[in-house]
Amino acid sequence: MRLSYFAILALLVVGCDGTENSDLTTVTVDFAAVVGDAPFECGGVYPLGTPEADVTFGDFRLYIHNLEHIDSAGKSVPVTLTKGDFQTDEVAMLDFENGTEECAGNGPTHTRIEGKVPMGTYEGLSFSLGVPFTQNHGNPATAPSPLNLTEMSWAWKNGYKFLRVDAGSSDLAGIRIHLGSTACEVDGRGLTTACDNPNRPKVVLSDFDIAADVVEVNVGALFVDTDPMKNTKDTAVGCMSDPDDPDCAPIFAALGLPFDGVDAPPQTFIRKAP
Amino acid sequence: MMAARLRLPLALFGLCALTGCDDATTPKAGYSLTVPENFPEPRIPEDNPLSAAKVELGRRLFYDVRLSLNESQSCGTCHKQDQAFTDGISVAEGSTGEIHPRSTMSLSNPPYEKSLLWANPTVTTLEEQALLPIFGEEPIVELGFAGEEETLLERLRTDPEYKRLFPEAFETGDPITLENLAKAIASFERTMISGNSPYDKYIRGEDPDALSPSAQRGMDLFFSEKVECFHCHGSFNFSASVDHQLLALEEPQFENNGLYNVGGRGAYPANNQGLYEITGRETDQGKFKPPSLRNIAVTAPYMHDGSLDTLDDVIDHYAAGGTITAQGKNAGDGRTNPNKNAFVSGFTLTDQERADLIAFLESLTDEEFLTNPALSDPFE
Repeated sequence: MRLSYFAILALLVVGCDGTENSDLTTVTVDFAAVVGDAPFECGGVYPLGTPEADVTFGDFRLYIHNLEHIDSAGKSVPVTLTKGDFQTDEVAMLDFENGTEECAGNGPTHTRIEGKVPMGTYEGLSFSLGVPFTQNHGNPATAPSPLNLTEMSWAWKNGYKFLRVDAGSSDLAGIRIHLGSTACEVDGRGLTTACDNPNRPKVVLSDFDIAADVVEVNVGALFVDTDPMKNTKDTAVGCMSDPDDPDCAPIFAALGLPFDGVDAPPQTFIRKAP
Repeated sequence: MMAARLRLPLALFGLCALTGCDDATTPKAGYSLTVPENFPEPRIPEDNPLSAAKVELGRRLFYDVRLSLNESQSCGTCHKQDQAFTDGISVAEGSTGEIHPRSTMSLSNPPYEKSLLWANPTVTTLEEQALLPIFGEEPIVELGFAGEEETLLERLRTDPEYKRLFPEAFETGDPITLENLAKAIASFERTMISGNSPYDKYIRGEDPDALSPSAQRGMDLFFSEKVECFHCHGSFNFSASVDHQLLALEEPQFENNGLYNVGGRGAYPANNQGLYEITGRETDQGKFKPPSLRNIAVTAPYMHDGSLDTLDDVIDHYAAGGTITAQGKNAGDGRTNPNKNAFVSGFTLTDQERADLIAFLESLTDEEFLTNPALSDPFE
């Protein structure tokens, strides 16, 4: 009968997106940017570093991917991100700068990641910094937002800036912390095949309540062992992930990344907000 | 290092070449690209076929200073036609005054380049390259639009000429996009074909007097196993870094020619380490693309950092097997650089032979290319 035909059709359409619709639930994870104990603000002046100096920030953005919730059995369950200006279904960009004061990015910020995950009991959270390899060496001009931002693509090195922190002190105008993959093999067609230093640190927060807890991203941690008034001669001002730049060593340590033969210590950049 | 790969030529143009079509010009999507008889066909990406409308738009964009945020520079500011699209200075300067570590690349036959930058194997298409100076921030700010995409697009959208030209060139979808901007500039660059130098006319048999006896002797030297230039600067484009429809196997395209040897163990100056900056491999230090030598007489100074002023200086460098930097932070004997290509082993030339070699290099200057109105600045 026609009525039941349409009813069946309706059921098929509802259930037809390839997932078990009734089992998925929308989740959000909130991130907060801080500088040590203080909230991150464009225009803020922060005493940082060793020796200490006043630092202001011009940009603070990062990509994350592989967001997973950890269930009570310890199993990691992938979160499918909700597409939007700041998120593809796999990669999200956290944007803590609001384009005002010293911050030279754009107006909108993005501190809440939204996605879908199967219903269940979750106790923890994990994600990796950066853009996954499969998407890191494409063409930014034709990529969907947020992978088409000219300030976040590492133009001539072909890849993205996984983390972009622009800062300044009274002696160093443009301290730039740009994290990206380095030491990359390129095949005969000009395609990147692998990078020795992927530089995609994984963050695991094993005790995290999605509903109540906040992820704290502490840009101050990157400056703890850095002198904001000095830069090693003949290197990028700040750290642009160059394996030969000694200014990268303390920053990579804070990110939990190996550097120059030194194993990665536990990262101090991201934690559950207390 | 570079794996040998079999490549399938693109579409019917490749088939045409394989079966021996001898038509020097092959119309492509309504645009007739004139390719000299002694040149293979360049590769044209399937998603950006050539059209007269794209070329005209691309030419306008190439020379438009509004493609810099502060409106002080266009592509043409550094890529000046009468100097084969270089700027006559050792290293390039950006629109905000920052100085690049490397020299402006000459654009003689850009559609035939295997890769487009001095030492980056990943930038292989003109479309990719076109956006780099516009939006790049490292190593310097060039045209200054990082983060200001909307400002650039708004400038284009509100200009009466671009309002007309973009839809003519791009008939489907939103015509004014960054992708289309890149495609248009790339299309214009695909018409920058330089193949009518005296050398070309000579080898095509059009003019047996095109090369003087001195230049002919210089040509023999260039292609000899004594001077060895052709090993890195061979092919119809005088560069090993070429790509075209007949090319099935890749060849290495970055070489170390012994210009530096900082610390005696193969390093190059810290801000200019070549391929090493991409791969991180020690043996890639100092490897740069051997660029095309076409029009070389008008593109001084020379080398990736413009550190050699004249062709005589260049010959001195290769005759010695490398350059010695006597003092300063980059001091070292380039001749003993462990990563140096073995063919840069030095040679002795008589004064006459040197003059002959220079006469040959000068014969690669294509006056028609340097003055072709179709490649000139439409704003002048």
